[in-house]
Amino acid sequence: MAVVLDRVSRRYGATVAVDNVSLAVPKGQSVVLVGPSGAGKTTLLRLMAGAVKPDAGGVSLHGHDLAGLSPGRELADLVGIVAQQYDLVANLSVLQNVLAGRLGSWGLWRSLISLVAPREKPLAMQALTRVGIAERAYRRASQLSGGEQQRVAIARVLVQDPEVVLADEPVASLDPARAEDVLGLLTGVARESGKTLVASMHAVELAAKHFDRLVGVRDGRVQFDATPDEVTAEMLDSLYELEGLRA
Amino acid sequence: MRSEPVEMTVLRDQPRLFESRRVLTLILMGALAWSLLNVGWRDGVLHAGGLAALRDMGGALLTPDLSGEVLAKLAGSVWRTLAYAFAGLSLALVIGFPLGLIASGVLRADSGRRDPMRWFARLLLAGLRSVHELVWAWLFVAAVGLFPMAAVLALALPYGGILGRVFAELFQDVPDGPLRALRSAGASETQVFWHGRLPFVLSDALSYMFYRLECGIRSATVLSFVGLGGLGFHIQVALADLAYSRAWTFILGLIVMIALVEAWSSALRKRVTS
Repeated sequence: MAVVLDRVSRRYGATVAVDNVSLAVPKGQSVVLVGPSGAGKTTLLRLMAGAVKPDAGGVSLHGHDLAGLSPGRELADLVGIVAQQYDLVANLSVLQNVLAGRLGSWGLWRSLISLVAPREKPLAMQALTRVGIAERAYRRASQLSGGEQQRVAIARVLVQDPEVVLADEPVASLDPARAEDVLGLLTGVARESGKTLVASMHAVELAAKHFDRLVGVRDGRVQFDATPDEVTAEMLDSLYELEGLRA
Repeated sequence: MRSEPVEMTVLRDQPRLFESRRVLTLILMGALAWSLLNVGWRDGVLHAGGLAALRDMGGALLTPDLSGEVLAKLAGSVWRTLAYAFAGLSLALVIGFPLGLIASGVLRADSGRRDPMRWFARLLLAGLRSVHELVWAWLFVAAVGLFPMAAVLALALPYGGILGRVFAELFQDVPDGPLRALRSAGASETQVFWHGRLPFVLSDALSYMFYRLECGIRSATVLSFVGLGGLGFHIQVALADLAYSRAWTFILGLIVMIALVEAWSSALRKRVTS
């Protein structure tokens, strides 16, 4: 199993963000967590990234218990993140932003030299070609459109080359056409390189088109876990229906 | 992440007549009025010939002394003033950057405000900038005599303190998103600094440094009153000679010099940000 959550709970103050969730994702699968805002999707992803420690239960990636891993290279080899927008270093070139995916493997000197004379450039150019914006390599990241910026983030995670890729609302800030493109690219890249992909989204129809498996999350619990074909209108209705309107 | 159910009972501040701040303002205004009433306006507070002198000075503005001898002096003193400012600011950067970096505490993820290194750096920066460059100049002139190095050091120490403090704040004030992304790629805090924080603050830091360079030129001008040569020295001598036309030549030289530095800095900033 690439990702295993074993009876994981996490609370913030009085609110229970994740409530006794167990989930197993086999290697190479692409899973999307769907559900209303505040359902606990982001917390689940942060738990898988090792950015948040569980109050109870355990998280492991490829057999490594995250509790025993500190941030740094080991963790970066296991898991990489494509976040919502605005996580590029705006003043650096696209190329430098992509190469940042290598920082975990580089020592300090190597990374300093790379700021002046980029190291491992072919690797970055290959990734940029894959995401279709190789001609933008020397632009400043801030000059790119939202969709292009997400492509850069995908290229960065390609260069980082972790086992598991996490994507928190990867297309939330894009218009529908761009969202379709970027999502197709993200799932396609994961599939062809055999990476495990776990994303969170709230646009269910869009998610169902691109992912192998949908996990409905509400109030910090898993409400359904199904392939796109098995998801029914009733399942979605009960996932999104408003608290007060529930019969 | 779910949002906390927050119950907001905001009590808006009602404007109150007797708010302590207003009372203080009233007291201060009263004190000012009282002190003005107590000035003996007729007993030589105003310089009797002041108006005439002012008229002379104003007239001289239109006829600055452009003789070859004065222009040669102007060129020499502009060069010297610029040299003081540049050397002082370069040294200030050497002092301010590392101290600011330590004071900001961004190189260590677990650095608290009580980190002794950090505390020491902040103390040092505060000490450097709390003494004005003119006072440093007196100290250095007293210690090593009228050497150019005295002027450079006098500028470098307080400016290093100011730059360090501003850098520390800039380094801390970087949006978290890009930094988190770098950390998730396995970057250490030092790598996060060079690849995330520094590129982010570069244009702000640069524009602040240029502002400080401008201040440095003006300060270097004033420093030369202490006897260290440069523009200020010539302005002082010209005023003592009541040669207003000559004084204006040097003052206009100062203005042109600052305008040129300003143009240079905005051109450079444009290159960094676009």
